[in-house]
Amino acid sequence: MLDHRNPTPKPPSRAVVIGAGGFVGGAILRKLRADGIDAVSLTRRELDLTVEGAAEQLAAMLRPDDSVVVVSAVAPAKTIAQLMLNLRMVEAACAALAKSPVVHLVYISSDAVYADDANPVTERSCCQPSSLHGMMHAARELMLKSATKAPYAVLRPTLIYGAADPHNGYGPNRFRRQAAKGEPIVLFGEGEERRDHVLIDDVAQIAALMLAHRSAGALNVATGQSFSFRQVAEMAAAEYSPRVPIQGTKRQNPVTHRHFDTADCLKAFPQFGYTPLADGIKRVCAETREAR
Amino acid sequence: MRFESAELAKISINCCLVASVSVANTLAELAERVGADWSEIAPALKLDRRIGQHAYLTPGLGIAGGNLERDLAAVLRMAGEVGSDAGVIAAFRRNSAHRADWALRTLHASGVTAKADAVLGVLGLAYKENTHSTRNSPALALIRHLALWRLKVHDPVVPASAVAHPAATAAASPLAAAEGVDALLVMTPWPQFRDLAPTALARAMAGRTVIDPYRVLDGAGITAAGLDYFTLGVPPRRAAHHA
Repeated sequence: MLDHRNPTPKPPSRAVVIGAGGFVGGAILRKLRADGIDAVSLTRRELDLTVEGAAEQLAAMLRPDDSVVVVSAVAPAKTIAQLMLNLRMVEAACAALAKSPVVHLVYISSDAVYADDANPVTERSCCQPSSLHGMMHAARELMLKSATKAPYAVLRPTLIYGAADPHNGYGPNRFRRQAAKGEPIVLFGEGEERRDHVLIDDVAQIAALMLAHRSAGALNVATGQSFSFRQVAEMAAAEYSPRVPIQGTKRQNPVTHRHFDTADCLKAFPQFGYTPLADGIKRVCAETREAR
Repeated sequence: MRFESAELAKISINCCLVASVSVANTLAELAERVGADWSEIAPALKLDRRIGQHAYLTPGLGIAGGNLERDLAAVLRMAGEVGSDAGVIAAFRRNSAHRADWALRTLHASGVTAKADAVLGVLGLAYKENTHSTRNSPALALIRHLALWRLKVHDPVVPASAVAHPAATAAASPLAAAEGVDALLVMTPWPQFRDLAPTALARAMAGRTVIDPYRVLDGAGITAAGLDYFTLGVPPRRAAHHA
């Protein structure tokens, strides 16, 4: 359960977004700026956490009244080299935070830290990653916790979709691109697996709420509604004309599901409502059509 | 009986009760999601001699009762000290915490809370019927998370002053607590709430959401009167004219 150090929301004096050049970091930066918050953008251009001297460089940038959001990552971390690189990046951030303490720290983690069979997932579910990517986030969560005495919050988003998604992973992002190109949407098996999908705008809004409340603790970012990949494919296909076919394939892996119990979010941010998946997909498709 | 056995016998009884209630709570949730009705299933279980007519099979909002929770904590503590496996006890507690939030989840899922100026009626503040105790009260636990909305509360014996809420007002009767509300939540199964006529409720309420975990009200009558009815162990029942 999140602990709000500001029971009444109060904008941070200044927010520093480390990793603002990415999909998630960029969305958080835009949301904060749209809310009128002085938000500093640190992309790889301004700060490369992988190079020598990064810790000192970041320490010099931070002010005591800063709220810091750490998003920067090489994701997904699929190899040992990527895992170690991600750890070194946060090692530098930790050194900087130890040298230049701040008032609030938020880390954007992932639901990959949880055991695969944790259903329904809550913030108290067992952290038992089955992938290097999940282990990377679990380790970074602990590293940052050990590096600060400030209120520390961890956001664990589930599968994120949005117009600027760079990964094109299996799910809404890939399906709507396939549908837009007039290509068939290809499912693993018959797309029976149920997953929760969260719109990038909602991730950014939750992060902004956490900063305003100076929250401490962990919070999952998930809608509480899981859909089969076939249902997601149907939603994406319905957005384009002519409607593309949805094709099943021979199943290679057993069917697994992931559901979330979002009671902690209802308690922490009772005024916040997630975008329903069908509405979110509709919105993302409209945004991409407008961008063309 | 040796001292250790006597101590553990009392704890064991409570663990068996918790096991029954946890089974009911687990399967009632499943029933809600697959279209079954736990109230049709529980009587069949009671026909099995190994389960019995008096088995605790009524679903609730988690494990109600400080003594049960105390004994679960005792088992976990002792098992931790001696290294025995008490994982199932930990699972009972997890499930209890999950089901305790049923009313909160149901209220948000109903869409009522999306309305910033929604008014919510809460019937019952006591921990259970026929007591003035509010310790472990599901109503008060729920109300802690409803600070953004106005409340009208009524309990036959607990005064509204027991509610720590910035905008809660006392209603003189159950029907008065339903007057003009967007959603009505029956959080204690006081027998007198059964007297609420569905048609009178439908006339009194501004919205059409009735959340009644303990099935105090006449669900069929509620939906026939044009209200949506949410209770434990069965999928939501929509108002007759919306079905």
